[in-house]
Amino acid sequence: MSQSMTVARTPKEPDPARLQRERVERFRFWRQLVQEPKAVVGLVILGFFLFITIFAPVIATHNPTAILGTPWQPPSATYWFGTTDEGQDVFSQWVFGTRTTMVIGLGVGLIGTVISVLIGVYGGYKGGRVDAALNWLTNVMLALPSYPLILVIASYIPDAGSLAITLILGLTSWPAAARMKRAQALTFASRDFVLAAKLSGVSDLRIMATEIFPNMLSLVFNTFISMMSTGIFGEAFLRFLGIGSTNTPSWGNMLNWAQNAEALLNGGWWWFIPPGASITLVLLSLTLINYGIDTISNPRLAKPPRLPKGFKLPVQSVQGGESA
Amino acid sequence: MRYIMRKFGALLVFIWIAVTLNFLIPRLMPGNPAENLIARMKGRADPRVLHALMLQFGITRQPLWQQYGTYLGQLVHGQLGTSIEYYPVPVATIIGESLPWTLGLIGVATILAFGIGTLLGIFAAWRRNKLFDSIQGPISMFLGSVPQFWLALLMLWYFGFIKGWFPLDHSYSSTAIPTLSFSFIWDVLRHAFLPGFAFLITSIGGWMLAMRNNMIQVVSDDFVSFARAKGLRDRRIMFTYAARSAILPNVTQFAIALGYAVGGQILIETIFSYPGIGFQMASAVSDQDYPLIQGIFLVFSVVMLVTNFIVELLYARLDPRVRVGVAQA
Repeated sequence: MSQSMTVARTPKEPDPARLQRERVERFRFWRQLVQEPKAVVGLVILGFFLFITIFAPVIATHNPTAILGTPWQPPSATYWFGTTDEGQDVFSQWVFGTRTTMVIGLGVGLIGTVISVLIGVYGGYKGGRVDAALNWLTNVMLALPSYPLILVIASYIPDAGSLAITLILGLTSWPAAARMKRAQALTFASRDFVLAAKLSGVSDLRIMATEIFPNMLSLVFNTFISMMSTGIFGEAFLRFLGIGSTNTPSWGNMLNWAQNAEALLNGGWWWFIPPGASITLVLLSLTLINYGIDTISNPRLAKPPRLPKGFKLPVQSVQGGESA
Repeated sequence: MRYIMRKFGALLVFIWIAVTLNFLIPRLMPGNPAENLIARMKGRADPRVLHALMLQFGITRQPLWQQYGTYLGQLVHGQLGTSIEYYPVPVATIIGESLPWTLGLIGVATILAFGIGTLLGIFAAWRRNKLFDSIQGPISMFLGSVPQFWLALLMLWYFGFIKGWFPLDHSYSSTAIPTLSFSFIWDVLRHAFLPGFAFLITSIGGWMLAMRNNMIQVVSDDFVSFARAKGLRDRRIMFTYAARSAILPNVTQFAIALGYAVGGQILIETIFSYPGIGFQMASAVSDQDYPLIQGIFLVFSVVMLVTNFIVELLYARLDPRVRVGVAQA
């Protein structure tokens, strides 16, 4: 970092027009995203679940673990989602479960993204031996079957809780994303703007942080979204199998409890539907958001311009112009 | 040839890593589940087996490298240890018995999903922005988001329990006699239908989407326009021209998916108590049957690594650019 201090910083008069432009640039991504109908639907659904995550204690109508009434009551005005085999309120379980699961999802997203960025960008930019070693590690991790590996590791951790689940999922889910980051960093490493930064004496770390990283933000965001899906599905996967299941409500735990109490065979569909439907909705919303980001950042996916009726292009030259 | 040798070398190294990982994971984990295990086994197993187990899990005074040597030696002789839950059945026997069920269920479902999905993808791309293409996107996106195991549960509940159309668990009725009779085969098919269908319906979308996207790029290529200009029949252009050159990435994905099929579907098999590899893995985990967990993981890893190797060779065969190492534009 000491190198970067030598770069002279000339204090500039704040140019209002420039500031304005910068602000517009910064919000352009979000503005475009909001114009994409798929992404909007996704953001709304995700927002709904994030809202529940944040305000869980306010929204829940009962204590999720307290035994309240008769077992196996169908949904009613008091128990919106019915009761469990022990007479607990399913709605409150679901509300607090949303919190647990979403936090695990966000945590896995964060860990997975950070690792994939560090490994991918560093390897792709630096090249050489470090890159070879990191790339090799990525390939090994990629070749091993991921869910069985997660299962093996998890099975050795006694009393794995939410934190353990987050760590296991986060630490095993980065390889594919790291490979993509590496590929992109590789193409940036030889570009002129990186070269220019290098020649002006900016340190490698700084180049990675200020020149390369900002240019792959959409990919990073994409990764975060996918990793979050991994986290949410992974939580359900592990806990449904009884690994790391605790008394804390979560979507995976709810499915596990319902399965152990043979809810479906006792007619208690209301215990199974909320967590499963929630997982479906959240994964769907994340997919939609990812599609939205793709449409914005990938010009090849952009819709061809609308042409007046009766106007025909000679042999579809609009598409595939880039592939030459 | 040099390419093949290099890839083969990498394969050997990867297998060695998988084997070593399998050796290290139980030894690196916090706590000592293995000691509990031995305590559980005392009185049930004879001392020789206990000793072998202790060696397998590193509860011994031997230095690590010596343990490693013993472990490798056993592996070379095909010994994966003895299951604890099914004591004294060797792990290899259990894997051998569950593998056919998994391959019959998940393997067949994977092949079907690939075939149907790819065909639908070709169709969607060919009639881009027509009715089918515009509904396939949302539908496959939705089906791709439904957790497979949850869908399987709901199907089991509705079609199996409420309607009673299909059996609730296992791969054949307990009353059926496993022979090659028509009634037995029918029984097996009835048992496989729900889990297979749950797998199929959630995995078709991915194949379709991938094929559609590859195909759309190809459809606008010059050689397709040329084929059209020659006046070839539409169907012919679609399959022998466009689809043929678009299918390459899907074929390699398919090979990998087949490798994955060997590991079974842990959740689906568990829900239907289908006696495949995935079911064994899940029950081994809940019974803390560590030798069985390790054995399944090792076999599965090696299969995946070998599949990856085959895919790379296949790719080199189908796409010469990979073999020669030409940088892609």
